[in-house]
Amino acid sequence: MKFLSDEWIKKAKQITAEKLDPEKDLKKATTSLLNIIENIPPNGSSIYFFISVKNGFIEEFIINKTGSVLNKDAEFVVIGNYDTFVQILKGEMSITIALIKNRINIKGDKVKALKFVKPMDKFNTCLRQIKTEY
Amino acid sequence: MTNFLSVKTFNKKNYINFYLQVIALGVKMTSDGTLSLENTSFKEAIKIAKKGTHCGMCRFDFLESGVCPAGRKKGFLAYWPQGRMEIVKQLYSGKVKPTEKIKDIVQSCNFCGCCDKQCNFTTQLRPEKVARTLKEFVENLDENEFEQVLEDDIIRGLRDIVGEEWATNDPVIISSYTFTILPLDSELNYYVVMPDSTKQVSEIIKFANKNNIPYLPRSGGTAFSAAAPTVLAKGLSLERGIIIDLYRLRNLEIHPESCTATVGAGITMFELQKEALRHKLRALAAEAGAHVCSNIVTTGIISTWGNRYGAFADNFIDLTTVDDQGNIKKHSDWERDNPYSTEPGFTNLSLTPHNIVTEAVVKLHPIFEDEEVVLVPFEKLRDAYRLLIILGKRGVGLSLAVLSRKYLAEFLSPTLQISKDFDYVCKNYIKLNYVVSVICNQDDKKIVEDMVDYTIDQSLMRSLILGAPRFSNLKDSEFMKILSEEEDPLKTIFAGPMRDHLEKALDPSPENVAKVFDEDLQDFFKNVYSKPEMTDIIWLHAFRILPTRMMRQQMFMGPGGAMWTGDEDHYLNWIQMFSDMGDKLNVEHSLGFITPLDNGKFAYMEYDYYYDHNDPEVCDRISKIVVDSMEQSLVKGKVLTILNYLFKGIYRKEHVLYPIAEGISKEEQELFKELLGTVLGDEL
Repeated sequence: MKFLSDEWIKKAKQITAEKLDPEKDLKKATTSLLNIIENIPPNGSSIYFFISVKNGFIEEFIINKTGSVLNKDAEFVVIGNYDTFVQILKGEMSITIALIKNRINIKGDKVKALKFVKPMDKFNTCLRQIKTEY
Repeated sequence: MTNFLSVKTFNKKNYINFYLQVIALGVKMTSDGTLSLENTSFKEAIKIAKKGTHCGMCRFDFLESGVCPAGRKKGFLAYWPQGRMEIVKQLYSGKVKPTEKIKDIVQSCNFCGCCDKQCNFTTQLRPEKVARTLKEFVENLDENEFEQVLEDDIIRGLRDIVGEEWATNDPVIISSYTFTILPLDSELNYYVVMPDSTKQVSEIIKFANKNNIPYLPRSGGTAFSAAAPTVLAKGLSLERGIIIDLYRLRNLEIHPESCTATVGAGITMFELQKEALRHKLRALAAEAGAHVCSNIVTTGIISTWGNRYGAFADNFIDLTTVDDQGNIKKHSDWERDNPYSTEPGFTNLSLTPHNIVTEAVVKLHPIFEDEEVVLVPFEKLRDAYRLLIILGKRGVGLSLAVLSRKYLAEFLSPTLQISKDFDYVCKNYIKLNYVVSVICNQDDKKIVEDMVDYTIDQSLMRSLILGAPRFSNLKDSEFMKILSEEEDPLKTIFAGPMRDHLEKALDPSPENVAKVFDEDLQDFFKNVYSKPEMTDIIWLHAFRILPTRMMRQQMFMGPGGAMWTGDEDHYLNWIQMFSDMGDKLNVEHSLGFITPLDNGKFAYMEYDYYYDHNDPEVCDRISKIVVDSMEQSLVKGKVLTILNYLFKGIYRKEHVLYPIAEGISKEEQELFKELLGTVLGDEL
């Protein structure tokens, strides 16, 4: 299914809720994260992807194109190009490499953000199970 | 049939592979289209090319021998001597096949010999042999053996921005960028584009973003070439996408009235320094081949002149930058957000620039009529360090540094063997392990001379340069063995009548030093060493043409950083840590230099490890040293490691060096290990 299509978003919510273990995978984390994916082809639009986790349980998982989630008070904001997010989701580039290469910008406490890299990797690995057309 | 094989029976793909393999074994294609086991030129070319370290000294005219005309005209790295050497390696490995463009590359070389003179001076290599072999190889290929390279929408788009000849997706040209921006194992799925204006850089970035293609700017490529054989390559390189080669941004204007210069991103430090000198001005000196703008961005120009001239954002009064959205900005734009501050802390790591600096207005500094050099020799590092920091805090001198024996030997010696013998004599006989090098006016010279018992002056340094072959011959001298038994051999040789005897014994002359070069280059080097600047220590400190001699026959990696100088033991223990790592991992190592910063409150230290970059096993050990030394430095605290230094050069030193870093906690250490593990590979 097409990446970031309504169908894909539905599947993403379902699979992360079913497959991710709050303790083992998400390390009982409590945080919130807003990803802003820019330059999405073909017209260069953006998509906003908000997730909040409490004690390892996903509380909110919102993906939209309107930017309404910008009102959410996210602990971290991650901004990057579509291509970078695709590479991360495909497992071709780690979140840390993307950060160090300035492919993504993180707003928020970086030391704390780094603690969530592993849970986010698990999250992305889970999404990789969706057969996605990029 | 043992020595001659017909090539006509092979199809195209097999033929090229076969040809490359057999030619590497010393096989030659004869005029009738057969291969004979006679010619070893390709083997020799590969051997030379593998020793190449991409120092970039062939891209500017530092010996007044001229500079590669093909490279100057065509721009792309493939047309420069270092690029040709890389192409030969890539052809040999089978990673790239000949394309139509390679014909133009080989035909553009007129064998003028400039590259041999330049490369032989610094690294003792003869790149012209490589160019000749490459030409011979290409001219012996059949017309149907050249691959056609097809245009795609991306290359068409890039050509629309920069013009037809300044953008390419030719794999041969792309392969020449391996080791200086591309990792060694890359797939060559790149584009190279050479803009000639900030506007074009902006358009390229907007085009790349629109098409979701990553990009990375390239200037001299020297920083990456040092990192390429190590774990740092992954983080510093471009994995695919557009290489923005900034060489064509060659604006250079000196403004004597304001003591500033406008410098485009394609200008090297040597070129700036040369123009500045015409106006009796001096730029803060990075190594000669470093591009001024990229060196500002990368490390804020680490230099022995930094205590007086400044560091980081002290170096410039304005920058023109292009951000990751393609927006053109100037630091002087009054309405913009503060561009001088950066996040503190060990997690602030960045292995690529945030912005592309296309032009800088840099500060220049007056050259005084009474400048002199004074060097103070030491046996013990603690004594040298102590003098350095006192001078740094008192603001004595323009250039200040502790230089190791290894540096002296490498810089002053015309060949690798002479440098080894020079080092041996200093270490074993005269106990000359460190010098504090001070370039200063006459008032400051008196201050230094009053503080110490004996010094080395310009005259003796000139004799050591022109008499280096004789000095190294003292390795077998009975007299030196006797001298070594003196209580203070340094004093004996530098403070008494022995000094005059030594100078005479060295028989210093351009003729004598030229004799150690290849016979066909001896006349040229006699002329080179006859020029006053080649033995002028002040000129050599400002133009920095000698440090690439550290890469003779091998690569080096120089971790380190800037440490607070408030605790002498803490500082010296930190240096010892690097030494212990070299011993533990069995890698040749030595302190490089120490130079004060910010009025002596910090001092930058480089510790060097020398290794063969073609040996994967030793590269792994170097990688381990890079990672472990950084981790242990962070645990020690009071230090900004070289990795934390990277890409902070456009910020104020006050925001980079302060607050003084405390040692990281156990928890942070674990986090740091995880961070590096993800970036560099868990195997370390």
